[in-house]
Amino acid sequence: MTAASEPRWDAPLAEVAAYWRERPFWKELDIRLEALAPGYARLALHRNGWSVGGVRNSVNGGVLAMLAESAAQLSLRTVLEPGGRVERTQDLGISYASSAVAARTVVEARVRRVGRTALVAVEISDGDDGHLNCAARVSCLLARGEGVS
Amino acid sequence: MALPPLEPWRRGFDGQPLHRLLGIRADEIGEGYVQFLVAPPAGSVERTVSTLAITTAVDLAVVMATGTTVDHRRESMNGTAEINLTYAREPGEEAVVRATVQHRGPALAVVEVRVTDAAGAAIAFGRGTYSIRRGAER
Repeated sequence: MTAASEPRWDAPLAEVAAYWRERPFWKELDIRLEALAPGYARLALHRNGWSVGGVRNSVNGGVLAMLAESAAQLSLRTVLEPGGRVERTQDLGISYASSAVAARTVVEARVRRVGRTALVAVEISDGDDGHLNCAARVSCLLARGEGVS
Repeated sequence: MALPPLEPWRRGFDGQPLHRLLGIRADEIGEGYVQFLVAPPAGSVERTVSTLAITTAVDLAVVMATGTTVDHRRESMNGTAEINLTYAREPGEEAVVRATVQHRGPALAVVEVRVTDAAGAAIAFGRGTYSIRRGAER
C-alpha cells in the first residue's frame, strides 16, 4: 500500500486518480476516478472477476452501494472548507433500477447540501448506453475546519 | 429451502476474494436469517471497520437471508430492490451484521438488518427489500 498522502482534490486529475488507484478496494475492483469538480465526482468500475456476483451475471449490489458511498465522500472533499473533513457516512439509501451488466459502470455523485450534515445524490448507470442502474442518496457528517464556528 | 451445512457454507463464503478483501466472514445462517462478522482484513493498516465494508455486507446479508426463504424449484432470486442504512455511531474494531426476513410475500421480501459491535451495542440500522420471481432459476 502506498504511503503517499492524499493529494488535494484540485491537484491534477492524473495525480489524484493515481493516488486512489493504489487503494486496495480500488485496485482489486478496478475502480477509476474519471472526473472531479466542485461538488462533483465521477468514478467508473471496470468489470472484473471481483465485482460480479449479482443475479444475471451483474455487478454485486453491495459493491454498487459501496461505490455510491465512495463517490459521495469524494465529491464532498471538493467542497470542504480548509481543515474540514468527512467524518463518516450517516445515512445511505439506494434503489436498484436495473442490473449492472456493462463492461464499464459509471458512478456520478453531486453534492446537494453542505452543512454539519451534507447530502449527496448519486446515480449509477450503464457505461455503454447510459441507462440507469441505481439511484442513491448519501448523507455524511462533516467536521468543520479549525477557526470556523 | 434446504439450508446449507454450516461449515461448508462458512468456508465457501469466506473463501470468496471480495469477502476476504473487505474482511467479511460468514457466522450463522438459518431459515430467514444470516449473520456476518466484519473486521479490518488481514494485513490492513486500518484498525476500525470501514463503513464501505459494512455497506457491502448489509446487501450480501439481505440477499442471503432472503435466499433461505426461496424455494428454488418454483421461485428465483431477482435482485435487491432497495437498501436503506442509518449509522448510529462510528464502527469500531468489529461489526456484527445480522439480517432477518420480516415479511415474505410472493414477489418481495422485507429484511431488517441490525449492525452491532461484539457486545451488542448498535452501530447501524438497515432495511432491505428483495425481489423474487415466480419460476425456477434458469
